[in-house]
Amino acid sequence: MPASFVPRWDAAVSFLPASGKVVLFGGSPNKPTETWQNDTWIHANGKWTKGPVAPAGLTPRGRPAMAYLPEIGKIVLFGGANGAWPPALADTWLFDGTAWTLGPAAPAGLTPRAGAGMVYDPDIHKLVMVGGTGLGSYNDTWLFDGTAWTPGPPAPAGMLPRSSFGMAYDPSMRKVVVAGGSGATDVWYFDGSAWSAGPSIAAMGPRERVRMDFDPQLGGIVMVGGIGPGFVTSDMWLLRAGAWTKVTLGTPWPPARLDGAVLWHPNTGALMVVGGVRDLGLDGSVGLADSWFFNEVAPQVASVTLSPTQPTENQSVTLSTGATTGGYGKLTTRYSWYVNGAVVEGVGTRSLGPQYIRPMDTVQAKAQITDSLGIVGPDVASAVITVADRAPALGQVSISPNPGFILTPLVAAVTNVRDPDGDPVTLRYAWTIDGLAAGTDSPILPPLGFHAGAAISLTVTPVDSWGMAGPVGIATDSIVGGLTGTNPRPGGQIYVSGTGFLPLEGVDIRLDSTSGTLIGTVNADLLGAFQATSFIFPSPVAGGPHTLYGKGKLSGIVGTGPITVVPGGSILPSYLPSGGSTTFTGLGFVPGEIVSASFPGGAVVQGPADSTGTVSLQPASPPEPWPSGTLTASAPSGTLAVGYTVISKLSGPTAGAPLSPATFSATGYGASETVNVSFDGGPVAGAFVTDPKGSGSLTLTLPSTFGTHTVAVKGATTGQSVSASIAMKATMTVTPASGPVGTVVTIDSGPGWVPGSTVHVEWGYGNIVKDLVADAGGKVHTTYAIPNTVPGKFNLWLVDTVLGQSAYAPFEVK
Amino acid sequence: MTGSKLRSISRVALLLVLVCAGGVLPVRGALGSGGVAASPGAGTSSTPGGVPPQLTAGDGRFWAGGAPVTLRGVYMPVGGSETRFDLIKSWNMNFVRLNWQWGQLEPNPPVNQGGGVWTHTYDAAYVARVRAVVTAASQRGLWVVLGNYWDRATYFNWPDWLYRAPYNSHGLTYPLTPEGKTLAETDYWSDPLRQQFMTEQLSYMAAQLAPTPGVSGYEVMNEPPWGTLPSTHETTQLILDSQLSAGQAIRAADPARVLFFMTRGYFGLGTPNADLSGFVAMGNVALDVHDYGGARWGSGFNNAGSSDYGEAGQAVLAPLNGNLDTPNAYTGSVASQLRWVQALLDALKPWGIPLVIGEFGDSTADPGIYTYFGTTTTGFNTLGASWAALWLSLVVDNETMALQPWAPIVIAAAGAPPP
Repeated sequence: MPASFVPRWDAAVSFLPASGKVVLFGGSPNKPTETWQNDTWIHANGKWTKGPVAPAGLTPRGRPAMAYLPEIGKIVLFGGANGAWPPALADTWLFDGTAWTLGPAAPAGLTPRAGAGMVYDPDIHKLVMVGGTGLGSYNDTWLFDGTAWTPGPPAPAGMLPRSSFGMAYDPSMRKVVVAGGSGATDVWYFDGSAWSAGPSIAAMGPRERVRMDFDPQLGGIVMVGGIGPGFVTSDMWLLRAGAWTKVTLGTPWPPARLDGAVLWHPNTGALMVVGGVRDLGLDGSVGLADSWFFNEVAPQVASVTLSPTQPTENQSVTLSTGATTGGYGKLTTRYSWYVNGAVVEGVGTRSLGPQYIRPMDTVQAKAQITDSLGIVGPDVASAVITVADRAPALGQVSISPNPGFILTPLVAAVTNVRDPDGDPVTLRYAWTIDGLAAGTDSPILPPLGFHAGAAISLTVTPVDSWGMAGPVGIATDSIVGGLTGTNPRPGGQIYVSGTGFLPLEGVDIRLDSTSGTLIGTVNADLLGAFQATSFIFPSPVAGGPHTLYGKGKLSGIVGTGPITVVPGGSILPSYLPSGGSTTFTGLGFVPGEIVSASFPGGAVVQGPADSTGTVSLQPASPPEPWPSGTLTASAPSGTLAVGYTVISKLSGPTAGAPLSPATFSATGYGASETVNVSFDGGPVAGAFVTDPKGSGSLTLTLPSTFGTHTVAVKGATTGQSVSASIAMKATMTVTPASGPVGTVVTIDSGPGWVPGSTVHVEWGYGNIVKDLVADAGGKVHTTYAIPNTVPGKFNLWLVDTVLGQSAYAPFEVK
Repeated sequence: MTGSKLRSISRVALLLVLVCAGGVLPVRGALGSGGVAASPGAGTSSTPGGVPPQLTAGDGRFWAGGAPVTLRGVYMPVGGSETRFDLIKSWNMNFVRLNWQWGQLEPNPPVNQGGGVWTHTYDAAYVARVRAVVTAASQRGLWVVLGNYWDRATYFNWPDWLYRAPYNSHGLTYPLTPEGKTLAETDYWSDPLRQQFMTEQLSYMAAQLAPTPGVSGYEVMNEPPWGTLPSTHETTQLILDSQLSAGQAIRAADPARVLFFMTRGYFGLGTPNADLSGFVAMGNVALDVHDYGGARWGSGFNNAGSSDYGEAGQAVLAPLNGNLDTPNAYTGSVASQLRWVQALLDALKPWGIPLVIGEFGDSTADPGIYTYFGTTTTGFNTLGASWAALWLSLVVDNETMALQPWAPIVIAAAGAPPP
């Protein structure tokens, strides 16, 4: 402050928002040579200048209450003390930044006083004035709305009288706070309607001659200086979140003082401390004319850097920070670590231990500084680094047994598996058999697909727990032993040879498994092998690939060998005439496949092979020349031919009439062979030449007599002969076929009777009523009168005793 | 803190008046004897003419003739016109404190007889002068207390021969320097010989005045200085115990009179923590404190909650008094005066010992002197405390006795009804 400013006690200070001015008024003398003041000082644009001269009524005084009242846009001043007795100052003055004007008179109860506290309460839009001392010590409350003073609520019990104390409005609490000045540590809140106890200032002790204001930067009410307990202090205390905390003094720092004005200076953005009295000489005679600003800048570090930038999981990551700016007092840095974006709980140091990181993790650190005032700066983050992962390694890879056996699992062994990071290492196994992937990711390769001579390869890859793969290890093996078998037909022969067994041990040969159908047993030689040995292959067996299993009875060594069961079949009957059908039974087909069977030139019949590879078909043989043919059976799995023998066959009528023509056909003869025909062993009655299929036919006249005759055909070349019978039954006619007794009927019969032979006519069987003689043409003719008889049906018979032939015809007697 | 050491009582010309001894009155209160109603003025702030009933102290109050009284008066030098007493009587005062000065009583050193026996040569004329002043005051109805005050005519405030090697237990001849004075003050409390001499002169004084009517009491020692001893309870208690011992000698010499004592310094330092059981056992005792506090805040003591609460006065404490070398202006308040007195009353209440503010006054150059007397007397009267204003703050001088402009404040307070 300028030299013309007289340092003083009890000056009142307030901020005038409209003009951004700090207004200081009045004060009490430091020395007997001084006096009370009524000068006005204004702080604007960084300097103090003397303000307007006080009007006549605004007499010198110290410790007036003063605060800004937005409702009228003026600073309000009340009372004070001027050394006179009794106290008389109870006047109200208003200052608009330019001039002081007299305000309303105090009501009767508002006694003269000094050292009262006054602050604006925006919630009630009034100034709140409390306490002070005059003729007594007060704790009453008064409210001023710009027009008049009105009594406030009564002080509650325990709210001690006070003067020259701290009073400020805390917008965060929406309460007026009163502290100090009572000789005790009581603090009080005023919510616009009532007082209530606030947080005690016991931590600092009773504090007197102190002032305070709300510091929006610190978010609380700040109390600076004062006295008590003990001596004058330069302490600064902060009431925030309901608790008082002591602010560590910085450098420079306002010297200890009483009565120093404390106010928030919005234009400067800083807390302002002005004037007051020093503690020099213990007599309070040294006034202060200084102005101080406390401007809080949120603390922060310029940067956060991590080291190493590519840590391994066994390393700690350490952060370093750049230069710190801002902040106040003791700075407390909160370090936070983030792994994969998530905060690491419980780690607040500059180092993040290896227990918190894993390979491939991302790591980031943040530093946030909180200063002694609880101002928290921004989190400054480091770059994100990634935890490195070093590859695992292994030593040797081996397979046992080596060589391997057909049905013996192969087991891999890996030595010196290691990881530089100490990570768990998983070995990944990749097997191949003859270059093809086999098995699973396992150190054991089951003997699936093993065969003698199979080339086994194993690649082992070490992989750490983070997926990092190291150099692979490779081992090879080969499969020894096995069986070799011919491709059999079910029920046919199979030849099996084998190796890889113990010398001289017996080897059971089985189909498709070591417990499959036993095909046979063979003894290995001194080399553990056996030569091709014939066995009858089981039947039925489905066609297609099968495996032979040879198992050493002593060693248990199992050797295998692939075979393919091929189709086979037979027909029954296998002797067939032309047109004759047979049953083809096929074996060794692939189950489900369609099997077709046919004779040469014949119709094809089809059917599916059943689950055993068996199929049964019934093909019919077409004409085929003597002596044989082949039936062909085919399927996707194979074709086979089944031979059969041709049977000669005669075909013709089995009945006829004497001397009537009849045609006879023959098959199963040689192609273009002359075939002779004869009756009843007699001479050749006719001949014909067969076609290329060995078939042919001839029409001949039948013999002349009734009765059964034999017709025989015989190949002239092949000598094949086939005969057949033809029946020629005796017949007769009776005309009319009915009539009354006495009707004469005509009886005719033949040819067919032996000419000249007797033929009996009988009325009823055995009742010869007439004999007739066959004529030369072998015919008979007669009449016969129906004898007296009862009506009914009767037969008339002709009976030849030579041929033993007979015929009959009915007649109905009416 | 020894701010009161700077006060310039020595400027006052002393008028010593010898007063004949009177009878011993029964007392009540701590002494417990049934009272003859003191007359005149018992129970009021003023007394009519005539030697007032013997003052007693007990139950936290002063008593006279079986009735409680509140003492309101002045502290003044022995020397001066008897009309001073008429004046203060006209102000409705009933109490005067006079300063007894050892330096005046025993200007020459004692003679060592060996075996711890010393032969003193006391100034009987001085005793006579004091007795006369006491009588003059008491006959105007004033209760008179004699305080064992410093003699500013000496360098060390007590007889200067005490500070020569033969006459102190430390065997030191203390230099006439501030440091030497401070050392002497410090050593006093560990100096049996000086304490012996002190007790002997006090006992002599009491014995001489015991027959004198109107002596209300004796004060053992004015504002005991503690030198460089720590401002602690132990120091306070050491001083109190020494005063108790001396007080017992006084009581032995004059059993009827109230024994006034101080704690440490002038401001009642240590009172809240003091062990006063010895004084309680003695009975009929009262505590004297002197109010030269600035009263700008608090109780004047370091605040409650301070580790040395009650043992140390607040800094920035001394604003005033007739010493121009403490250029302070009084801007204190009733609030603080109330708190100081209340703190003392609270401390004394358990002991049943009454309080008197035996001195208070201000520099006439102090622009705040009106407020000073207004706030002090308002505070004292509000709490019913007895008090004695510094005479020389109220009058222009001890001779003309012209009133200072602010004297009416004190006079009005003296006439105010008790609470």
